[in-house]
Amino acid sequence: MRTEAPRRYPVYVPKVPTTWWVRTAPFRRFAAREFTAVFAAAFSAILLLFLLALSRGQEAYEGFLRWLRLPAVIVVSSVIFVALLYHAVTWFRLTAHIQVVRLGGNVVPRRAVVGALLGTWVVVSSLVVYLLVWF
Amino acid sequence: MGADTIALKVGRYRPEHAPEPYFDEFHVPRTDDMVVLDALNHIKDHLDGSLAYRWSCRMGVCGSCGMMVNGEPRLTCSTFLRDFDSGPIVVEPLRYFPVIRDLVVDMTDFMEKLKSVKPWIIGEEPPIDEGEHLQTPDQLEVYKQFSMCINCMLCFSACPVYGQDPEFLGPAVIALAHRYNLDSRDRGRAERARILELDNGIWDCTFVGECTVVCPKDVDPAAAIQRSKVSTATHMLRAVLPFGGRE
Amino acid sequence: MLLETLVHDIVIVGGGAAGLRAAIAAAEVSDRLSIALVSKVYPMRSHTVSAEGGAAAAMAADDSTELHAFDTIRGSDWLADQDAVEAFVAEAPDEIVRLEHWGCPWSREPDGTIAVRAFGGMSVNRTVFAADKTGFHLLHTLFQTSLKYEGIVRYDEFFVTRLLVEEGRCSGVAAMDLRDSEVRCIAGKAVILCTGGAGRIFPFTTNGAINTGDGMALAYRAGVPLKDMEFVQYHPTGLPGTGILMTEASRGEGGYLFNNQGRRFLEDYIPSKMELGPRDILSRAIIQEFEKGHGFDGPDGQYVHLDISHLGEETIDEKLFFLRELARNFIGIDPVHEPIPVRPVVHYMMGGVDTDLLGRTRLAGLHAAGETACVSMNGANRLGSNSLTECLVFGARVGRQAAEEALEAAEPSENPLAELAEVEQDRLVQTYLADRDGERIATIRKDLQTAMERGAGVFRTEESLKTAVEEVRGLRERYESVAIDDRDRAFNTELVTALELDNMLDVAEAVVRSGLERRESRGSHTRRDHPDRDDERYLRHSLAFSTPEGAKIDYIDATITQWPPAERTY
Repeated sequence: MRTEAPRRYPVYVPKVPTTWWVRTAPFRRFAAREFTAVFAAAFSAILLLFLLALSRGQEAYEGFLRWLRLPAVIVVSSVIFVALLYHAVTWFRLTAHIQVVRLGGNVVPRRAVVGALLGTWVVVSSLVVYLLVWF
Repeated sequence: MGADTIALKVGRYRPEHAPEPYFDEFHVPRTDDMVVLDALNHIKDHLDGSLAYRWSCRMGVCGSCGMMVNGEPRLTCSTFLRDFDSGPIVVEPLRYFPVIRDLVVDMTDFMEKLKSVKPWIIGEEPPIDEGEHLQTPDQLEVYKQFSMCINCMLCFSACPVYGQDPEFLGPAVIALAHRYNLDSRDRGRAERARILELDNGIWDCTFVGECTVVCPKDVDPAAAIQRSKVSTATHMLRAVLPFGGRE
Repeated sequence: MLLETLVHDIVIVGGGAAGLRAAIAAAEVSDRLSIALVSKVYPMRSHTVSAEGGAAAAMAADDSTELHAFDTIRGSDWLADQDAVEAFVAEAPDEIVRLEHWGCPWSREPDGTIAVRAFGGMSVNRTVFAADKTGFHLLHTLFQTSLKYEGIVRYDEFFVTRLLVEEGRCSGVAAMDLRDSEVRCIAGKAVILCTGGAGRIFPFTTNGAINTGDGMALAYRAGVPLKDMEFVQYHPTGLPGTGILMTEASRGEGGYLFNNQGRRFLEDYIPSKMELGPRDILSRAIIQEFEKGHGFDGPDGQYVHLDISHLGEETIDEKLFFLRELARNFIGIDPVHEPIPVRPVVHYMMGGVDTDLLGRTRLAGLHAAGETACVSMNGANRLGSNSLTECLVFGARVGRQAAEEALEAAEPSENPLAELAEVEQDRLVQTYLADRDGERIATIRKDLQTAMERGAGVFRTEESLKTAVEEVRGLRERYESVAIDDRDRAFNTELVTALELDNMLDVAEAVVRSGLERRESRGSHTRRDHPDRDDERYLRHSLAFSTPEGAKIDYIDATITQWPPAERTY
């Protein structure tokens, strides 16, 4: 069997900089997409606080709602909202890559899938908002 | 029409002379139908015969000539000089691989990983006189795209996960494993599962998607990896649930 | 001192379809066999990868092995050894099925069976295909399947510089590891040459950079004759300039060839077959159209039009996707809308290392298969899609034969072999890596290619070949003072290029000498001064032997079994 002969000439192993993600636009977009997960986590935290307040009774609940209306919190909430929009749109688009949708033997083109997903999302969200406002 | 000549800044690494890589600049004649590979050949033939690089078919099917051109992983045989307004065009060895010499990178890691996912039909081979497995055009279509990989490794150079963690299996390798998993003639999913689903396999991928963007053959390795994740998860669920069913 | 001697049972030089098939065949004979696969490139880069059209086999219901044999023999202009053809057609269908079992994605009929398409010179549709990237899929299937066998040990990017012959037996190779330019002795009881063709001795070729006739030169220098070297196949449809192949499948699917008068000119040459005539006839026809002034003028010479636009986008994308991609990428033409400029380009060497039906040469221990070998199965002209199947059938035969030999033979003695390899190492260092001035490789190579195109092109004369012989001799002398810029040891590709040029010069000499001595026209060897076929004198294979005075040509009769020589009509 072959024995490994020593490679006499050193290969050069380049270092990968930690700022690799700044280098190109696609990498920056990727980093942004991944970073929105932080905002998703923040939103979940706020939801949990909300549930906690609810469980503590009327006063705690109203105290929480007052906290939500603080200008600083509104600003942060808006940022979270925009980040989550970006998060949702990017993941809907990725879904079309992951799941091959077939309709009767033909593959549905990716654009159609993304369009359908986004469209459904907009419709359902609009319905929810409408119901909330109406009630 | 472009200018008569164009400058190329070419990465050099000569371990017998210097421990670090450096650049050499050359001026080559430019015509409309020249590709970067033609420029490199001109340098080697007439200017500096010591420039080392790999190439063969010059028609984008052998996968030898992958290099970084102005920071992007490209096949130099299919990258036209006319697409660059002015020089210098920077040509470097494929990113994230150890450099053996000039534009030649070490492919050992790739070759070992290729073998590790068992890229062959696994299962009992029927006797020859029984003829071929029947495989309809639709069944062929299911995996055909993933069988187009020319092993050029551009996707590895585009993958930041591989850049940060050279243990990662890598896009082309996973796409090839997925090609066999999807082939109606193969029974090897379980055997490949170990290497695909454990450390450094599909779950290391964070779906950056650049591998698919740079692939010159539209293999779409990103899709292969994500679909592997879906089918792996589905399989795991079914194995665990009482009404799960098969294998 | 030499680095190490590597001992195996079988040593295969070249990792393309033939080499990989031989390795797998040997590994299947016995898993105790240690099989070295030595290739100057990684196997997936082998030139098999660029083959497009398909692999022929008598599989369809309306076909028969007799018909396949007859087509092949007629295509060969009756120079093929008919026993070799009989063996080939008999084993071809099984090889196709075997490849299918190994995962090759053959294109299918709606019912799931393997599909076949029409191809040049074939009476019925028998060309099995994988879209129009048959060679690519075949090679990758073989390579990936070869990874299964622990007995196959690969030496990637090792360049074999000499065969090691000891006591009249070839017992190994001297192989230079590109990583450090050190010669290793790789010993084996059987050596198989599968290094492909030598198209690069011509300026316009479909062949990749690596096709420099290395295996042919190795055998030639070891005293084995090269058979039928004068028969060089020009593929009728290559892109002008680059020579990139436009697959015959384009004509198999119904494409047309037009001259500058808008005529399907093949009507004047081979009306019964038109675009599906054999390659030599079509290439001659196109050159004659050029001579009549019916070609289009272009910066890279004259050309004719290959038109597939009438096939429709759907058919093209399904069956000729790669062709469309190539035309769009390399000359900016979309064949769905426009005709493609094409001209004859060098594509395949019918000739090669003289072997028998089991791939054995007259040097004990040495074998050859694939394009490197000349069994002869293709005679004076090869039919398209026979070559890929040839690699499978004869690769398998040679692999099994070598395995049988290796299981019975004694171990080669290491010492004489190691010394021979060391001598080779010294020769390389002194000849190429020493400090000196001289001529550049590229100038000699270019002059060689120009001489070959002028002297040994589609149409040849006594004058042109005599001149070519002299020119090649002159280039051989110039080569003695070639000098390279690169004196490094780490991955010295210029050294490899110099060694390849050495091989190219030997192969070129065999081609032009054999061509000069064959004073007839047969198949792809066309002499303006001897335009007819002369079975009385030349129903024989030429054998080119290497001597200090140059190539010496001898002859051996072609084997006729069932098909007595007849006029080659279509």
